[in-house]
Amino acid sequence: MVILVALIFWGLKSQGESALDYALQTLNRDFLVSGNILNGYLAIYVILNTLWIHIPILIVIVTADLFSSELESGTIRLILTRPLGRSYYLMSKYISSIIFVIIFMTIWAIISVLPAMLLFGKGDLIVIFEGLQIVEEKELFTKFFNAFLFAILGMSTFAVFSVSVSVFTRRSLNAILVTLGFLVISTLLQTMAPTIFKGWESFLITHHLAKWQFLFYSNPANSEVLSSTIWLVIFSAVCILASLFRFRKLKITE
Amino acid sequence: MKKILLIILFSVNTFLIAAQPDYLDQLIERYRIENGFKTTVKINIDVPGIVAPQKTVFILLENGKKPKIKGEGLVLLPKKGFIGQFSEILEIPVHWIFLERKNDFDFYKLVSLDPKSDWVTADVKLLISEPRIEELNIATRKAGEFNVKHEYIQMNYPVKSEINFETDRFNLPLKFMGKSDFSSVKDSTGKVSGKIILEFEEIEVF
Repeated sequence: MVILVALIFWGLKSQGESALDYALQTLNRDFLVSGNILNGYLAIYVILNTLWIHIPILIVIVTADLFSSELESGTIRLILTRPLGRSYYLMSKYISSIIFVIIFMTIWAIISVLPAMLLFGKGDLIVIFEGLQIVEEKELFTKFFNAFLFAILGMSTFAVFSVSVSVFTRRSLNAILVTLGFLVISTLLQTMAPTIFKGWESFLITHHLAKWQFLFYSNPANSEVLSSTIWLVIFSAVCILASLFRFRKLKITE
Repeated sequence: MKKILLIILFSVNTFLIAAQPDYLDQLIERYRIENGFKTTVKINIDVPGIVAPQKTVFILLENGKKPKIKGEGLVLLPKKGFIGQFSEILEIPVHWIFLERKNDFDFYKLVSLDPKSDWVTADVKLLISEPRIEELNIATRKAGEFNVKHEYIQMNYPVKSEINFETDRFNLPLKFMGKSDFSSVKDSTGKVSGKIILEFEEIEVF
């Protein structure tokens, strides 16, 4: 995680200005742009884009192993000899995965925000999403905080999904591969959604994970964010219920 | 008879080409910028594909130097239609072609004779009584056409300028910083019409 963030900072520091000049060439034709464009907020915004692929991968590597590693090593048999319900045990795994996501995301936020502000300074944020939007600095704390909360929800959903997959696959490696395969296919379908798979977006988890971007709209599309929040919560609930059902009948002696 | 007709035609033509207004000196004097100017301006940008908050900035522009802009955060300052436009139009060699006189206004077409100037032609609406420039429609070499309407109160310079222009749609690299979709801001020709309103609070020319 540290290496990923450090690489982004290094890239922005060395090539950020020229990349921005390239991206904003049409803007520069009509306007004289004054102010610090390559600022800390832009760096954090770029880092937020790791939520598409990189952060889910790092999370899945840990959470997909939470349940199945105990099954593989046999410690689950020892634990379940105690007066402990299976549902209670599995729910503790889900809660652990969510706590892990919260800690992971908090550390991720700290190692992103503090160096970004020190290295690049403050300023308004230029967001390139359905056009070009300039978000004033005074609004940015709230927007980033909300995006961070939404990211925790999204990554928690993914963590819950990976735990559920591990209940079905029984093996950590299989669970990691299946979850990452799901992520890759979902991303691929989403990329093709505007052309080939029109209307499929709302069924894809990556479509909902990316809704943090809507929080940076000048007029935030709250209904879109709310519908994705509900979708993620329902998806998590379905994953938990399915794995609870499966775990009740799972032979742990095999 | 032919000779007389030719003389008349030639005279009329010469009169039209040299049809600069008799109040041109007053006009040049009104908008003259010797060394530069400083002003505080409120900028409102209404361009499809760009969402920018209203900004109030202080600008100091000295001839031959880069403008100094002081304001909070990012400021987008239009490259065309600013105060310097008056001297750019009036103080270079131009052909004045008189078009018509309507009520209190004279209408002229200006053709730039300076190959270095950014603009090629300009349609100017002048208020005769002041005299002052009310509206400009400028065709530039690189930046397309734009129209500027001015509002005055008492000063030589406008208190408000509305700049309307057509520009190419904003073509930002996809996935540069996330997902981009410009389909909603394009028209059939790939051009978008933008409007910028500048409200000047204090203008000091020096």
